[in-house]
Amino acid sequence: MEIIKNNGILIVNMVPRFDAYSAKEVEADLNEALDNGADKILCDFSGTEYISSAGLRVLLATAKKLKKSGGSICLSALKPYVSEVFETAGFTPLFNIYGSEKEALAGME
Amino acid sequence: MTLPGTGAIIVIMNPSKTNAIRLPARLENLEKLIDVTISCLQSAGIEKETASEIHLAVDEACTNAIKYAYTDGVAGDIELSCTIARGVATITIRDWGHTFNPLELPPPDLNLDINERPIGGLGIYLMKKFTDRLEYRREDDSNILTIIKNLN
Repeated sequence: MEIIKNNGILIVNMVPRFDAYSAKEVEADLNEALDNGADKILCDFSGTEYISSAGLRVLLATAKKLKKSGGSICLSALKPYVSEVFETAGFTPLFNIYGSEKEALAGME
Repeated sequence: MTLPGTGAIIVIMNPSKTNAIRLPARLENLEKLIDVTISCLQSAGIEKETASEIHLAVDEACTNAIKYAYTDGVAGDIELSCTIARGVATITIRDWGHTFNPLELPPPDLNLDINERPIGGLGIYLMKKFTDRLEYRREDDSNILTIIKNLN
């Protein structure tokens, strides 16, 4: 998973298949970023075709930690299927979701 | 068929669009279980949106079985079969672990804010929302979960 730092914002390019198997690696990477002091995280989903509850779980856990430490998390470029899973799970109101990475970066500054 | 935990992989395919696989219940095998399901759906020409919903339901069921069926270091198998017939997709997932009926879990409260939302507990709920019927039975010391999705 590619992680880039841009103007104090950590941009995480999410995995193509965000299931229980890949979730372990994503969670470890995000936890490492939090331990290193990341406080603004943008998860870009433009390359993600699939998400399961294991992926949602990692996002919620990360959002909770950032909220506690005064940081923030935003998401961008959710494909229709990923969006449907978010909607069904009641996750849409819990996150700031942008149409594209560019819009998210502008909104997070 | 092989005994649980032997590590053997058996793939059975036939022209009536039933695909089946049995392999050790481990997370690194999740993709193989999903691939068998997807190739079964694709060979029946099922549209992408419906296939994605079935994919999610099968993933959640398999993940649950892999994570919770076998505990205390006991290894075992998971078996999946996918059948398409008369406009209905039927996917059966079986494990030989301890008795666990996922359909008895209470539904999550989706109205809680981020601080109150518990982490986890969404898998079974998504499975229910994305399919038409779920059935559980305990048979011959195994858990059998059947996922049914109407294709028309």
